[in-house]
Amino acid sequence: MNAMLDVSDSAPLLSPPAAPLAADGLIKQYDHDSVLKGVSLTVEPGTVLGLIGRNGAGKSTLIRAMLGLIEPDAGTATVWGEPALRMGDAAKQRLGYVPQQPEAMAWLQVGEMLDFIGRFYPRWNAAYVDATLERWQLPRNRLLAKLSPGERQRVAIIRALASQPELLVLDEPASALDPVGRRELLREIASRAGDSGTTVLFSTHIVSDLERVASHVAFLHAGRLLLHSELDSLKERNLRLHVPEAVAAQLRDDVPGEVSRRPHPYGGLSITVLRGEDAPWPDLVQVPGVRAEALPLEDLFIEVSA
Amino acid sequence: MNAVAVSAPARGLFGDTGAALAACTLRRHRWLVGIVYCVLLGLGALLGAFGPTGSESRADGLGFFVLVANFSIWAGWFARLLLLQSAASGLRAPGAATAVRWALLWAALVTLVVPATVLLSVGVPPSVAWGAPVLGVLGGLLFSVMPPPAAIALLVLPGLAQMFSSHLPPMQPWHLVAAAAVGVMVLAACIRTLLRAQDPGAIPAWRRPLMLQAPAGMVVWTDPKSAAVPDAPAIHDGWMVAMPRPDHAGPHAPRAAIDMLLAGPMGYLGRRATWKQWGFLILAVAVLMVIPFRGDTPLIRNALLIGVVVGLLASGWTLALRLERQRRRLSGELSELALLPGLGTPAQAGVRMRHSVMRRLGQLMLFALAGLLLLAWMRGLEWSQVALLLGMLAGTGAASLLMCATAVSGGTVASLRMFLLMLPLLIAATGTLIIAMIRIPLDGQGLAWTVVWTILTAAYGAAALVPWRRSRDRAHAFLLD
Repeated sequence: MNAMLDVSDSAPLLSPPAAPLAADGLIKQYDHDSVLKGVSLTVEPGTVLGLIGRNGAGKSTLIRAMLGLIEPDAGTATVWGEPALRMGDAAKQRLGYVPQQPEAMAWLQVGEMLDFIGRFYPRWNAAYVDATLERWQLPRNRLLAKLSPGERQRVAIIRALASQPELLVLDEPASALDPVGRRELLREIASRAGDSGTTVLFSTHIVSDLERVASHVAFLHAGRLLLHSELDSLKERNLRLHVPEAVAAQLRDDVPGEVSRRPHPYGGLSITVLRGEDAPWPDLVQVPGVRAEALPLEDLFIEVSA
Repeated sequence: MNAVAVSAPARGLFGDTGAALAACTLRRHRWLVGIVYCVLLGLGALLGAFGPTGSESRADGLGFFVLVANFSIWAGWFARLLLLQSAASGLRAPGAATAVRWALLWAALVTLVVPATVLLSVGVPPSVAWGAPVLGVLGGLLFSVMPPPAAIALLVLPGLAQMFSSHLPPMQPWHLVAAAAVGVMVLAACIRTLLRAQDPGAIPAWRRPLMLQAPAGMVVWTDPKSAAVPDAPAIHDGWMVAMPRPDHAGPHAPRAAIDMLLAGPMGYLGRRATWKQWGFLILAVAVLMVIPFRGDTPLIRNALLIGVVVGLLASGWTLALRLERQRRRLSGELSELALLPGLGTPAQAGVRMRHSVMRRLGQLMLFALAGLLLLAWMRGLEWSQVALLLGMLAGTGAASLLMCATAVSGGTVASLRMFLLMLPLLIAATGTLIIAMIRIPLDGQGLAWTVVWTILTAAYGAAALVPWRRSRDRAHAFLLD
């Protein structure tokens, strides 16, 4: 079940320009515990990729490895074709990153920190900073250490967006935000992606957030990438089959595209299938007595990661 | 909150009580404090076994070791139960609060009754046998829950009392009772403040308990693997602490930007902050020069010398440990530095980072040199003894370089391996300190000490080259663990 499902978008015909963000066979261990087990993932230009996984699945580690913040034990990560571990200034200027729990420079005031960081980015949008600070009611003279976690996260979001990045990487950006803040952030991400073509990678375990803005989705489970697909296509390509006992008894092999299989509470089996882009539904769907239902993304996530 | 930064403990042999004792600090810290406690009691036992029987000094010596042992274990470990109690109250967890109370009671019984019984059985008078452990417990608790200036005053109080003993009236029993009563009242007030605080970490710096002063509590000094919390909540309102401002840092001054972001001992300070720090330093030196310590107060002079030597040994360690802890702060300043444009190529940024470390280390050693020379002059040491102290400074500098190089190369500073590596330095420094304190003439030993410090300096310097080269081979200087 844990094998990577080959459901990615169709392969490009021409050799494309370097992807904003790519990982190939990333492996990372901490104290003999494998956190990433050979993850390969490419974030195509202009896409909004939602990286979803349970707590401890390795989302943050994957993001850090892809950005070159940690050194993987094996595999490579590139940012616009450059090795992430040796990223140059040009790539860094085009990149915005919001960590999960921002805690850097807590001894500075909000305005002081943003002014300092702004000096490093040629396309820094000071007007955006001022307007957003005012809109989110964040005083410039407040110490970062005195802000609540949600406010710290908002400041980090402003810091990342003000540089007008072409690649935006957000690690659980909504985890400390209230519903209003979350909605605003998602709207901002969607508008950046839509208007400026910003490529976005964001991790979350809140499926509704992902459904709201993501164009693509990747499922990470226990350090393995189980699935990487376009979101709309994914919704159309999955089914949960309720197989009655009589039919289930005749099943010898895995059903093509089978993701999970477990006993149905009322007898028989419950099998979740995910067909490939152009593959037909398995024959089992046509068998009399077998009922099929399309799963919402959240249920599919649970089935995949169960 | 930095009160209880530990994982959920398993219920062990002592059930909830044991769990509370385990939960209030980390295993490594418990071991360290426990070892110190056992060593002190062991020294006391040696004195009891081999000291002259029946003498008053033997009883006082035994009492002293028990007092210091109790002080250390209560200050280092059991006082942290109060933080757990505060957290339990805040979380409305009456079961946990009860367990903490039982743990406090158990700890008090063990550290009072057992030593007192042993002392009584070897013929120590009851007043000492009971008084010493009680004083140790109360002193340890008081030291932990008082703000740093008051805690330090508590430590120097015995020395001051001895210093001014000729000017003070003879000590009467009621003096002791009154002093103990004041101590208990202060202790009660401090504990009350701690338990009533919603977040003990948010208590204003001037009255924050000593055990919460270090980032994440003193526990992190024995365990850099524990999540390092930002410095700011603990020190932003500390009026004596100057934190770096970014006024003059930027892409035009990348090294200042690196220093600014690394902060702490690495911190790049503005002119005002620098003047403030120098002002305090000059004031401290002036106080030392003016007050009449030079001629007739060996206790204070020795304390100053010990303080400077311990500070010298600790400064490099502190810097290295801080660099190591930065690597474990996943969303801290290092990740900011790693993605910030304008700091140069990875190789250039690495060189700047290493230069920053070297510069800070050099500054720390210069301060130590100034302190040692000042004290040598105040004590009127011979040139040979001054040369010995300078040898110690060189050896410590090389050892500090080794620790800092280990930290920037991704290695572990707080490890048994590093402790064993530093053991020769600690032994040689202790010997040097004793010679300087007692002013032992170096007649025939000068050459031997020169060889010792030359070898140690060369060995640590050579050993530092290995991690230093490894740090240059890293993909970039700001890698997280």
